[in-house]
Amino acid sequence: MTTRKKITVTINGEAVTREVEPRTLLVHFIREDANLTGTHIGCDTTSCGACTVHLNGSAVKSCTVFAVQADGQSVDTVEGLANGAELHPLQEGFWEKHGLQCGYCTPGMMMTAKEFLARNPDPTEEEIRWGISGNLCRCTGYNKIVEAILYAAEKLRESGKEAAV
Amino acid sequence: MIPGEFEYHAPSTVDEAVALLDRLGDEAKILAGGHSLVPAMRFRLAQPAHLVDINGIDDLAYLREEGDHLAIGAMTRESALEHSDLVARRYPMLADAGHVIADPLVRNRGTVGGNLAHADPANDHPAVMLAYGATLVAQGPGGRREIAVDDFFTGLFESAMAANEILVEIRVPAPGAGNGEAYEKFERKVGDYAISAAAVRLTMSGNTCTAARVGLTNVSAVPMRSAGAEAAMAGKELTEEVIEAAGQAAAGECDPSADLRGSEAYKRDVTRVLVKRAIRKAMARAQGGAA
Amino acid sequence: MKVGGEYTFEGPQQMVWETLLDPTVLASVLPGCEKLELVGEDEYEGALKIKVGPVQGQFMGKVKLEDIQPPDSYTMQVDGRGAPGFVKATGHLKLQADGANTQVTYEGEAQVGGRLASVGQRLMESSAKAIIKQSLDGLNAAVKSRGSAAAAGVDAPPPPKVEAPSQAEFAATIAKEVAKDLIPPWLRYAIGAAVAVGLAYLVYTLIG
Repeated sequence: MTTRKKITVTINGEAVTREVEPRTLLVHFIREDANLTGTHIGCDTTSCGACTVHLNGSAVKSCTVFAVQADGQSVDTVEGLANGAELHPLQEGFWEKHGLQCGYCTPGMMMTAKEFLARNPDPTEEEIRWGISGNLCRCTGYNKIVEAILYAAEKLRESGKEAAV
Repeated sequence: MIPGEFEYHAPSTVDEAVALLDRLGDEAKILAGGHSLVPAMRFRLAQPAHLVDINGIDDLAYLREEGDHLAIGAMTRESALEHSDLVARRYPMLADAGHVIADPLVRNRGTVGGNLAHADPANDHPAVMLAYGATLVAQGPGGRREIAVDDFFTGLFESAMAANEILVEIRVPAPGAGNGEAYEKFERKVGDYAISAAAVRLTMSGNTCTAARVGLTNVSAVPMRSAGAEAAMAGKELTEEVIEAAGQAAAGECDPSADLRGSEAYKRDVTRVLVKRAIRKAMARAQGGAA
Repeated sequence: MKVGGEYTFEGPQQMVWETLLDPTVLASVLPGCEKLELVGEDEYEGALKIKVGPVQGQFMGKVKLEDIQPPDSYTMQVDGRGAPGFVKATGHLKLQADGANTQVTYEGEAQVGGRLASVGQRLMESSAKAIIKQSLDGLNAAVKSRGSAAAAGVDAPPPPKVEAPSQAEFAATIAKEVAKDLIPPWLRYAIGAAVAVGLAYLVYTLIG
């Protein structure tokens, strides 16, 4: 039996304190300990990106980070995108442009896109495709996802909102 | 799968980390970016009893020119390389690599130091650092020591560092006059390991190459330089014939294994082509042409 | 997966044959060999702790030697199993005198399965080559030291070790003693060879 560790992770602005085994993956902590199941597990090989969250503002594959590494850090998940009933421009874009079919990759796509747009607010289509190259989609063929992100980029620029990461 | 159990340590200084490695021996693994180690642990192919997480150590991530070299802190994330103006301007081969290592998400965690210390021949930085003739700085119980990159890779997943040493810094020689460099990688899909890749750094005087270093990725068990390609170019005017000869030399000298990424013959020929492309791009950059 | 190659040992054929079949030598040159014991007629079981980079695994293997033609050639059947995967392999070794040296040609075919095979596919061949080279270099060193000992008229010094824990030597000694009690000398050598080479094969193909 290894030493369990008490960790506090700030998820979407709220402190979550639990005792975990060191080997608990961040994605399992988010889904099972914090009950936020919007973050998905789509593979076993760090390939698909369905588990993408922000760790201290940086988009990472949460299946390849241990929860203990997030102790004292801040994590943002897809549940934190909306502002109450108001959808984030990315969520609106995926809705308007039909950027999802089964929706399994979508949280990861949006979290990746959020960081991407913060760095590159006026991207070309090719830059977007490059930016989401760590997220796999088996349904859409990516075209509508790219359109959704272009939509969100324009909305974010228009509203003048800071794409706060 | 769920990884096997382990004890977790999070030292706050390099000395603490070294002391832990010294005490725990081969039961411990360093956790840096973790994107080579954790996937192996999730399959339980790697089950270290102890993980020493060095992400909490200050001052191990930096990119700064110091005199005659670029000093890269070992914990510098690949995404920092990808987005650095300094690197794009002065060390374009490093920027080339920064763009093709895995994918953007992995690059937010993966570190330059980890990419080298893991000594996986499929990683991109080994060939790049071989082409740069970089110096690697390791810290152990006895202090720091410098290891020339030519001496660093000693076997499959084996480096010249002792079990109680940590890579702390990588020093890349600054470009001189006539410098041109490029990294050309060919992969099945974005984010994959290379079928083959060539890292080329040239010193050009007009159309004549006065110095050349060529590194190859994933075509040998140990990251390698192509001495043959280098010899084919040194002191010569880089005509199409010379460039082809360099490509052929690299193709013959490498030792690829057949696998899902291709047969031996295929990988050799891809190597030949990539060496040629990297040479041409390096020449163009040396002559101030477009990247 | 097919594995094969040639290696030149620096010693005469008879000496190379004896070295290849010496369980003590083999236990010490096979990386990570931890245990060697007789479980049936012509059948040895061994435990190998394989380490390639961060990947580590414990494997149990059974080896049978067949078609022994001293000092020229033999065939072995390997059946290995471990948490990371399994292997079934057949290997053939041929010795040929080459002046003062001996040319050994080895070839084999292995079916590898389990997690190691799927996840580690890209490293199969290079890992196998690396471990084979390491073991052959160790065997060559043993052949050379046997040669110089013979020339000096003294007992051969203990074979040089290749990253094997001391348990390996101990286990090999035990195996040797057990073998001495139960089996006549010539058969002892043959079995020892089978086990050792078979385990080598196990290692090469599994890790590969």
